[in-house]
Formats: sequence, structure tokens, C-alpha cells
Amino acid sequence: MELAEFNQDGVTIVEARGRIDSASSRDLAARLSALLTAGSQKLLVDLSQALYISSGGFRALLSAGQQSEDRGCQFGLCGLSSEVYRLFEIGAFVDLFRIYSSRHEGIRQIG
Amino acid sequence: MGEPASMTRRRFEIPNRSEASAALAPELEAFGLSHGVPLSVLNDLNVVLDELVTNVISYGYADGAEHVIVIDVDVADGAVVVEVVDDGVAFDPMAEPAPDLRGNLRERRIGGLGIQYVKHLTDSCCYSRVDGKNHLRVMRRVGVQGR
Repeated sequence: MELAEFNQDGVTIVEARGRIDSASSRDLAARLSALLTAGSQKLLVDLSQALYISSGGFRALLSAGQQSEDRGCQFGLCGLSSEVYRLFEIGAFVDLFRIYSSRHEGIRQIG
Repeated sequence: MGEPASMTRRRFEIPNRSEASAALAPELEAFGLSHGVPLSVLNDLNVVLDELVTNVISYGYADGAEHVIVIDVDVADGAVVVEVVDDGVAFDPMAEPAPDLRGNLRERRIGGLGIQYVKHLTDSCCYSRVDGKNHLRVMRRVGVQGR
């Protein structure tokens, strides 16, 4: 997995590319946690380049979602492929996150 | 009953460390693609493998020593079979209760979720304990699963 970070219209976008597995999800959790601790108020995770997410990756997203609630940060996900969306469905995560069709839409809604 | 002539097998052996487990994914992908398995199926199998191997690494060993986990992958006509063999404590993940998928962001727990993925992303799962080793064998059909 590789992480890239962008800022647009006041929204911090973290793009997670490749395999979000049990090992790499620690990096994702650490990056999101660092942004939230630093005071990020609008955070969007772009999953359009993610090949898959295993349960460790969902743990990282859940933790960031909880931390966002605590800190009053607007937290969203975007760009889920149909394969990745199915992984959200299997774990019943669809209703736990604000999920936007694209980065553009996410920025428009959160920003 | 003989094995189909077109069956091809690859064995991977990894130490019980999470970075070794992560290194397995691109290898499984390359092997599967070279035998015509669609990427979407290989992505699903990599999720399955990550869950199974992570379980073994996290809960299988109490001695702190290095162990070898063996992963056999068979690509046959219309299916991929993956078997994970470890010498950790006896543990049948298939016998675990289904995870609780209810609750909001704050109430949700991840425990047991890995097995949920293993079951949903494969067409069959089978556990056995043979000669002091756990054998977890999963089969995923190719092309006819329709999901």
C-alpha cells in the first residue's frame, strides 16, 4: 500500500493505493490518527486506487471514524470500486461511514 | 479419482511475521494471473489469505519462536484451492461464532470479522487437525460464482 496526501478546498485527502492488508493498515491508521491529532477538520479517504481492504484495514477506518467523531472532524470515504464496496457490505460497514462516489463529490459535500 | 491434467500447484513457505505475510500477496497474484485467474478472484483470495495467516501469526504461537507457515495454491479447471498449514495451537476458525455486525461506529468490534471474509469470499472452507498441524483449506470457483 502507498499513501498520498492532497489538500483541496480545505479538505485533506488521503489516497490509499494498492493492498490495504493487516500489515499496511497500521500505516494507514497512523497517518489518519496523526492528521486528526494535528487538528484536521475535514478528512476524505480516497479508495479509488485500493485493490482490496482486509479486516485490519477496516479496523483502521473504524478507529479513524471514531476519532473523527470525538474531535468533530467531518470524515468521509470516496471512490470505492464495486469490489471494494462488496467488502464493505460483507462487514456491514456501508452504513457506518459517509461514502461518496468520487473525490470530487466528497470534497463538494465535506468542503 | 486422478487430478485434472491442467492442475498446477505452487507452494509458499513464510515465517510467522506479518511483513512476510504481506509479501505473499503479489506472489499469489502473479502466480494466479499467469494461470488465467481473474484479478478480482485473486484480490478476494489475497483478503482470505491475509485473514487466515494473520490469525495464525496472532494467536497460533505462544513460544515466541519462529515457525514456518506453508501455503499451497492449486489452480485447477474452474477453481483455485488454497491450503494453509501451520504447527500452532489447535484452532478451528470455522467453529467460531459469527461476528456481531450490529452497532454504530462506536460500538462495532472487529473481532471475528476476518472469518466472515473468509467464508463470504470462498465457496467452501474445511478445517482439519492432522499430525499436530492445522490445515485450513478453502476453494474458490472461477467464473461461475456470479458475484
